[in-house]
Order: sequence, then C-alpha cells, then structure tokens
Amino acid sequence: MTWLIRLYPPAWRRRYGRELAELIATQPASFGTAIDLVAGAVDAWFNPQSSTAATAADAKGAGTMLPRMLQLRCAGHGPNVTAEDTRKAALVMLGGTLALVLALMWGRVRYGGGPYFDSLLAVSWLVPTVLSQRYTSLKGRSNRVQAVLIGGQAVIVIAIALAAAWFNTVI
Amino acid sequence: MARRDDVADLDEFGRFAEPALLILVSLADGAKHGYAITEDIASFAGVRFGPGSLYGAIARLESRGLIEGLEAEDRRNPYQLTAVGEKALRARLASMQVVAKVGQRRLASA
Repeated sequence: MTWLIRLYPPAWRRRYGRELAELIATQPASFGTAIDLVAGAVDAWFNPQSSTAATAADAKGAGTMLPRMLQLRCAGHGPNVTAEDTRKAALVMLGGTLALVLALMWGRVRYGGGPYFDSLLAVSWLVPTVLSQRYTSLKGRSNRVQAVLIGGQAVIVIAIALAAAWFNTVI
Repeated sequence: MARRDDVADLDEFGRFAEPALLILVSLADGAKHGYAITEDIASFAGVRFGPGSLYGAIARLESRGLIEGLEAEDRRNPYQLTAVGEKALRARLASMQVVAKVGQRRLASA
C-alpha cells in the first residue's frame, strides 16, 4: 500500500514519505487506510504546508514568541486569499452556474432533453465551484498545476455525471 | 485574549483539529515518532488515526511551529513539542476545562 505515497506532492514525499511508509508498514492493509491515504494526498496538494519553514525551537522567551506565532500563522495559512479573490471566486461560481444552467436548459429545449442533460444540470454548480479554486485554494500555483488539478476535477465530475446518466438508461 | 488566539490556531486545522490536539497531548510527556504517537493516542483516547490523517496533522503542526522534528533515530523521526506548541496546548486544555465544568454544573442542576 506504500505505492499510494506517490500520490503526494514531491516536496511532501521528501519530507514525510519515508516516515509515512514506515507507519503504513506497521498496519494491516485495508480499504479504510487506502481511503485515508488518498484523502491525505488530496489535502497535501490543496493545502501545502510550509514544513520547511523555521520551527519555533529557537523561540526562547516571551519577547520572540508572539512575532514567531504570527509569522507561522501566516506561513501555514496557505494561499494569501484577498477579499478581491473571494469576490472573483464568487463571481465565477455564481456566473458559471447561471451560464451552465442556461446553456443546458437551452440544450434540453433544442434537443429534447434526456438523462444526460438532467445529470449535467445536477452538477452544473459543481464545475464552476471547481473553477473558482483558481482564486482560492490554488492561488499562487503555476498555471500548469492549476490546469491539471482544476481540469482533472472538472473531467471527473462530468464523467461521473455522464456515467450516472448512462447507468440510469441501462437499468 | 492571547488564549483565544492560541485556541483559534488549532481551530484552523479543520478536520485535522482533533488529531492535532491528540498529537500535542501525546507529545506532552516527551518526543515520539509516528508509530509511537499512533499507539499512544489509541491507548489514552481510544482512537486510531490512519497514516494519512496522522501525517496531515503532523505537517500542519510542524509548519505552524507547534512541534518540531528531531534527528532520526533508527530510521524514525521523533517529534517534540515546541514552546509555542506547549503554550497552545495549555490554552486549549484550559478552554476545554472551562467548557467541561460549565457542562457538568448545568447537568448537575438540571
């Protein structure tokens, strides 16, 4: 089951990979452990931790403690999302959902609808939510990482919706 | 006021808040590596965290300076509380104690 460690970001693996492999080796392989590792990998990609930052070992004395805490609080807080970013993300979510719903409704009228349109309508809010991560959890990531993560999630959501519709037609 | 800031520090951990608190408690009596932390938490809290959850919490605690890694021993990296971590743990436990006392008092008078 240690192969699941490959799902983690390279920097994370360099820091914790060996320890994690040691811990996994002490536990019986189970579906729950696999899910836990996959969830941990997703979290590590979306919430990168600055574990290479200086630790508080040298924070001796109350005079240095507060600045150190504030510094670490900022460093560990992930992307620096501003109010403007939040507005942009909300605009993408609301505008994207509205645009998708209108487009799919038009498609239903134009082509007679069907389970595939219904299924896509059901997730029409989810795709813009994924896209909005560009301004929130994925802010500051390279364009390539954003494209892979956002595109991957969007493809998975759409694929699941279409698969559900197909399943509905065959049963 | 300072205590509120410390408590909020752990609250930011989201779903990792509980494992983070239990890891801090586990490290309160000395440095431990991942496996020892898992076993210790299982013994005093009856909870056994998966490796992904444990190291997700450890990464957060380390990045915020609440714990720090020590030199590897026998290929295992032990972790210990930092001064900031000890302060945050004391604040959180004091906060929980207040809530527990209020709850017990209200139950007793109910």
